[in-house]
Amino acid sequence: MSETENGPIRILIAEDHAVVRQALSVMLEMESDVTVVGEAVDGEQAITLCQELNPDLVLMDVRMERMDGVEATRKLRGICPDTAILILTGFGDEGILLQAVEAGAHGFLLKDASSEELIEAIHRLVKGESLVTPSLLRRLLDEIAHRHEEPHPVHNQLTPREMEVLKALARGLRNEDIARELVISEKTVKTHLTSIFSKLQVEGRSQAIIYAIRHGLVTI
Amino acid sequence: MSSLDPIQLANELHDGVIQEMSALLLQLETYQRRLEKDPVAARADLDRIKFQLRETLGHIRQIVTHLRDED
Repeated sequence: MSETENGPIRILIAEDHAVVRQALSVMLEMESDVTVVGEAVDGEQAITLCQELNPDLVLMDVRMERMDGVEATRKLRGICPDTAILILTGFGDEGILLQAVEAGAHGFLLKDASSEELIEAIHRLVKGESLVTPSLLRRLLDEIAHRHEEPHPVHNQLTPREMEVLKALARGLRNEDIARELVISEKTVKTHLTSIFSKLQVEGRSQAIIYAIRHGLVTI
Repeated sequence: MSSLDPIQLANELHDGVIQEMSALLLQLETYQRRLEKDPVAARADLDRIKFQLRETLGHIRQIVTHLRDED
C-alpha cells in the first residue's frame, strides 16, 4: 500500500446515495494527503473501479443495490488484496458486522463519524492497522460471543460417551488410542463414531473435527 | 407516494431524509474545516448546506403531509 511517501492516499468511494457520496468526496478532497480517485454507486462498480484504479482504500457503504458492501468486500479481497476496506455503516446495519469481518473488511465507522475520525481511520487502515468505532466494537463482540449459539444444535443429541469420543477424535487420537483412553474396545469406538457422524450429519472424521471446532466443543 | 405503510415510511426515511442528514453533517464538517483555510470556499459550502437543508425540509414536509392525508 502506498503511504504518503508515494503521494496522497488514493481512495475509492462506494456509496449508492449520490448526496452522501458527493459530500464525502468534497470533504476528503480538502485533505492534502488524501485524494478521491473514483466513485462507485454499487458493489459491482466498486469491483470494476478497484481493478482499474487499484486504490489504497475503499470507503464501502453496506446497503447498495445490485451488490451490497459485504459481498463486494468478499470479492475485492481476492481481486485487490492490497486495498484496505473501511466499512461505513448506517442506522440498522449493525447485524452485518461479523459477516463483513469474515468477508475481509479492515475497519468499521459509523456514517455520522466526524471528519477527524474518518481521516484518522483512513490513515490507520492504510498503514495496515484495523479500527472499529467503540459503539460498533461492543456489537461486534456480542456477535462473536453468540455466533455458535443455535436453538437446538445437533450435538445436543450426542450421549456423554459420544461427546468424549468426539473430543478425543478432535485431539487427533486414533481409534486404538481412544479405546485405550476410554477403556472400551476399538469396535465400540467405531460404533460410537458411526453414531456421531450420523447425528452431526457429517461424512467422516475430519468433518466431525471441523464441526467440533466450529461449535466450540474443543479448543485448539 | 400514493400510500405509505410503516415499511415504506421506514424506507422513505432511510433512503431519503437520513441520507440527506448524513450528507448535511459531512457538509458541515467540511465547512468547519474550510472556514480557516479558505473563507471564500467556505461561503460556497454554506450555500450548499442551506440548499440541502431546504431540500430535506421539503422532503420531511412531503412525508408529514402524506401521513396527515392518510388519517
